[in-house]
Order: sequence, then structure tokens, then C-alpha cells
Amino acid sequence: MYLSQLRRAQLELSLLGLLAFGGVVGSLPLLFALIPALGHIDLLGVPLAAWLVAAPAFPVFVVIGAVYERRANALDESFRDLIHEE
Amino acid sequence: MILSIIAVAAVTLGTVGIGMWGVRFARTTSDLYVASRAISPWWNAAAVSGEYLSAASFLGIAGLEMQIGVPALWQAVGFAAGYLALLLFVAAPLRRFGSYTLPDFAEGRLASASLRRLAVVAVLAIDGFYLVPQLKGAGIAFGEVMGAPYWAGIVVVGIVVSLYVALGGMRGVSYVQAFQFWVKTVTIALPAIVLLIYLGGIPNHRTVFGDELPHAPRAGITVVLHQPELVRFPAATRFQLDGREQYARPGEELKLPSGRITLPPGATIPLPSGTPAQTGSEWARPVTSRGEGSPLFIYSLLLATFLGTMGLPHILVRFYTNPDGPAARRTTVRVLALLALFYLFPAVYGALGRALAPGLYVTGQTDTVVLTLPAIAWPGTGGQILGAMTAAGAFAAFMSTSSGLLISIAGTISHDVWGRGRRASMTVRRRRFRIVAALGMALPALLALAARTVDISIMVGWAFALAASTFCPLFLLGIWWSRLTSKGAAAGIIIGGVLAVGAILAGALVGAQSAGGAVNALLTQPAIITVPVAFAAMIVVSLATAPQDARSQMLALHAPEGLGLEALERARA
Repeated sequence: MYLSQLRRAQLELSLLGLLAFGGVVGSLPLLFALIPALGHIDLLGVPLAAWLVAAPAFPVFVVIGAVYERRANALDESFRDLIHEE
Repeated sequence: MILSIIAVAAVTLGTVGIGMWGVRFARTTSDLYVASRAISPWWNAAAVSGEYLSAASFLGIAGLEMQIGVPALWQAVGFAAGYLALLLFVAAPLRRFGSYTLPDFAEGRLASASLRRLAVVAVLAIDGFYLVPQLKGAGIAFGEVMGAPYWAGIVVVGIVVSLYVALGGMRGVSYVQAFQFWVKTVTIALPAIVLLIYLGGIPNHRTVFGDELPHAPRAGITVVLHQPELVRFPAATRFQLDGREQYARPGEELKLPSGRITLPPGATIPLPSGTPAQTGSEWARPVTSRGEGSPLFIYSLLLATFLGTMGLPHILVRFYTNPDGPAARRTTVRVLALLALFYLFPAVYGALGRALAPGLYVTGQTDTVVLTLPAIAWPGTGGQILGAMTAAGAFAAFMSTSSGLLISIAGTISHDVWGRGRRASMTVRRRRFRIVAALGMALPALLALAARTVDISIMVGWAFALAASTFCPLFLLGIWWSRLTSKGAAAGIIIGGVLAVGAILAGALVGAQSAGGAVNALLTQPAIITVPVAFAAMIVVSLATAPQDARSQMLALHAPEGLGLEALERARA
């Protein structure tokens, strides 16, 4: 009974992580399709749109991953405490 | 060229040396398969990344970027994102479940021997799809670096990889992979940074980001065609063919015979028929309205790479080398960080290649841009040293990925296929592993000989599509949904696998280029259709068949470490 609650909590956390990822990456292609002006703004000689594909997604993945890792381990930890209290 | 040969030889010797050093640790079958699960997270993360960064990442992204433009960079985003999906849904539970291979998981979770056999077929198909483009990369790189014929690189890389896999097993290979990750990262990052400093940024700004088509540099350009080629001239062009004056009208398609094509300064570069001529601003747009830049193709590619990574057998087996679930999570986050570092750099080569190496457009050999760019961009010793570095990195890429794939193939065949392998004694199994490792390269090598004209990125995309359409639903539903049944899983794997392979073969046979728009995108990258269909098949058939008891499996997948047996019994209640 407890275990299925833990599984549910972990799944919810994972889906939250998926939502964060989907928000970042899933919206990018749409953004470019809808706002062509991003191609006209230059940053260090390179259009902003090209920058947005080439670089920022990767550190965002690391941040989402690190936050998820902490939260998932914390869920496991509280489950362990719960079991050991009984 | 001498420098390149020395650099490639150094990487090869380093690889074999570390592999040999690792042999001393390969004592038991468990060592041979998964390195006794005793490798620290940073080593393991470097090894996972090293195994993962293949010819597609090292050569293919830059090549495709040069050819179709900035949309090619979505591939790098997807390649990295795959580890996020693996972290969120698979890493820790799968490690806790404690099976060695994908077929082990299929049988352990759903108690079905026939599902296991199906998983074996899928593993071998995915490994095969992935191994062929690696060998193709080896073939073209050998040709580029040493002037050797196409088959020579395939043979050399095939033999070296077979040898050290057969001798070292995975323990040796884990250290080799970690070593090769750093070789690849340094050899792609350092030349890119040095070239950008040397050139003072990206030159020919109007060709790369502005209103110009690629054109011949001030000194003119000479391209050698080894075989006749159908090309299209975007603008009126005078050129020389083996010294004879020729003229092409704007938009004219010509079948050029093999020989030397000389284009005068400023002449617009002809492109292989079917490759669209793009101005800089068209090239730099991340989403376009057609082909591999269309939103449909991009979403399909992102889906395939995001969900396919978890289904790559040679990557997953590495997660068993973590001691427990939290270590598997830790390793995966570090993999994300290491990949974030690597994937910043391939884009530089694609952009510089468009500015400075337009000759590659004529022959369609854009897959070699990472290798040829340094010498073109910086004539002289500096360029040669940088070129030797990228050549060494490319060889590290083929060798690491093909060794991981070969271990997966040899492990699967010696464990599952070869005459009741699981019941054979340790020594017999180990001998079989080594025999398969020595022979298992032959068939992929033959296929690579036939696949010379297919883009590396496209072939690797197929492996991801197949993995996302078969093992991804098996993992996601198997780990998180206790109602999954063995019949449902089998139905999903068969339907997803057959659809994906069917679309890929149809695309290859009719030529995805000839079909228009959306059909083109879906035949080249079918994941956006096949993945949802595979999920639906698994869910529908599972609900239609009798439920299976999955309580002990769910316990093994999700119970945190360190509970103790008594506590586990209470949690199960």
C-alpha cells in the first residue's frame, strides 16, 4: 500500500520534470515558427534564433536533472523513514 | 597527413593499451558483462557519454547542419534530452530491478520466455541499425585522412574493435570509453575554439547568415568528382571541366562526369540535385517549411531521440554498472553535464564549413566537414595540427560506439541465442562471447559497404526510431503500470517495430526525396506515428488480456535501498 503511494509520488515528480522539459524544448520550434523576428536580431554576429537552438537547452537539462535527482532521493528517504518508524 | 596518421595511431594504441590493462580485471562472467558494478559515478558517466558520442555526434551533426542548415542542431538537443527521459523514468528503477540486459528485464518483469526472444530480436536489430553508420563513418574518414579506399577504414576499425572487445570485456572497455569521451570532447572543442580565434569569428557573414548563396572563394575552387553526379546550378555559372570551358544557365541541371571541376572566384556553388539552394538567412532559420526543417520532422526527431535513448541496448547495459538506484540517478545527471559540454561545438564546424568549405556541397560529402575544415580554414601547420586532432576524435567516436554495440551483440548472442546459452557453464559462455565478438562485426561491415551514400545522421535516426517504438513503451509501461501483460508488451513491440522498420525500408526503397512534404518527413523519421501506436497497442492488448500479478516486480523496481527484508514485507502488504 505504501509502496504504491511512493510509486505514484515518484511518477508525479517525473511527469513534472517532463512538463518542465516539454515547456522548454517543445515550445521552441513553435516559437521560431510563430516569431520570425528572432532571426533578425543578432548577438555577437549570430542570429538570436540560431543561438537559442545551439546552446541554452543543454544547461537547462542539467538543472532539471539535478533538481529531479534531489527531489527523487528525498521521496525515497521519507519512505524509508516511514517504514522504519513502524 | 602524417600528423593525422600519428594522432589516429596514438588514439588506437591508447585504446588497446587501456583495454589490455582492463583485461587483468576480467575474471568472471559478471566482469565480462557489466564490470562487477564497481565503477564510480564520474567514471561511469564519462564511460556512458564516451560510448554514446558516435560518428553521428562527432561528424553527422556538423555535416547535416552544413547541408540543411540550423534545423540539424535539433538532433543535438534530442541526443542530450534522451538522458533526461532516462533519468526521469528509467534509471533508478531499472538498476534496482537488477537484470543484466534488456531481454532479462522483459522476462523478469512479465515472466514470459517468448517475450524474451522477441526482445532479443529487437536488441539485435537496433544494434545493427546503429553499427552500420559507425562503420560508414570509419570508411569515409579513412578515405579523407589517409586517401585509403572506402572499405579500408571499415576493415581496420572492425578488426581493432573486435580484438579489444574479445580480449577485455566490459571492464577494460569502461575505462576505454571514459578515456575516449575526453579524447572526443577535447578534439572537437579545442580546434573549434582555436579556429574561431584565428578567424576572428565566423567569416563570410552574408553567406552564413545573410542574403548570399555559397560561392567560390577569391582564389576560385577546384573539386574532384570520383563518380558522375547530377548537380543543379542556382545561378548562371562559367566553369571548367578538366580544363575545358563550360557554361550553365540559372537553374540548369547537369550530369557532371567524374573529373576536376574548377569554379572561378565568386561563382555560385552547384548543389547535388535535390539539395535546395539556401541563402544565409534561410540556412540559419531553425524551423523552415519543408523537408528536414519542417516542424513535423523536428518534433518526430525530438520524440525519437528523447524516447529512443532509453531503448539503446548498449547504453542501458552500462547503467547496471552503478551499485544502486541513487547512483544510477547520480550518473545520469553527470552524463547530462558532460554531454552539455560536448554538444556546444559541432555547430561551429557546420557554420564555418558553409563559410569556408563550399566545395563539399558539390560532392555531397558534407559528413566530412569536421575532418577537412581545419586545413581549409587555416592553411599551414596550425591547420594540420587541428585537422589531426579532429581525425583522432573521429576515430575515438567510431571505436567507442562500435565496441559498445559489439559487446551488446556478443553478450546477447552468447547469452540468449547460442544453444541455451544461459544454462552453459561460465567458461563455455565466456568462450562464446569472445567468438561472437570476433565474428559479429562481419555482417554490419558488409551492410556498411552497401550504405555508402546514406547520410550518417539519417541512419542513426532510424536506430533511435526503432528503439523508441519498441523498448521505450516496454520500459515506461513495465516500470510504471502494474497492469501491463506479456501479451500486451509483445503486441506493442511487434506493431511498433514492424511499423518503424516498414517506414524506414519504404523510405529507403522509394527514396524519401521523391515523396512530397509530410510523407517525406514521416518516412525519414517515423517516430511521431510509430511511438504512439506502439503505446496504444500495449495498453489496449494489456487491458483485453487477464491481469498478471506484478507485486513482487513492482517492489523490486520501486522499493528504496536499505529497507531490510522485514520492512519490505510490511511495505508489500
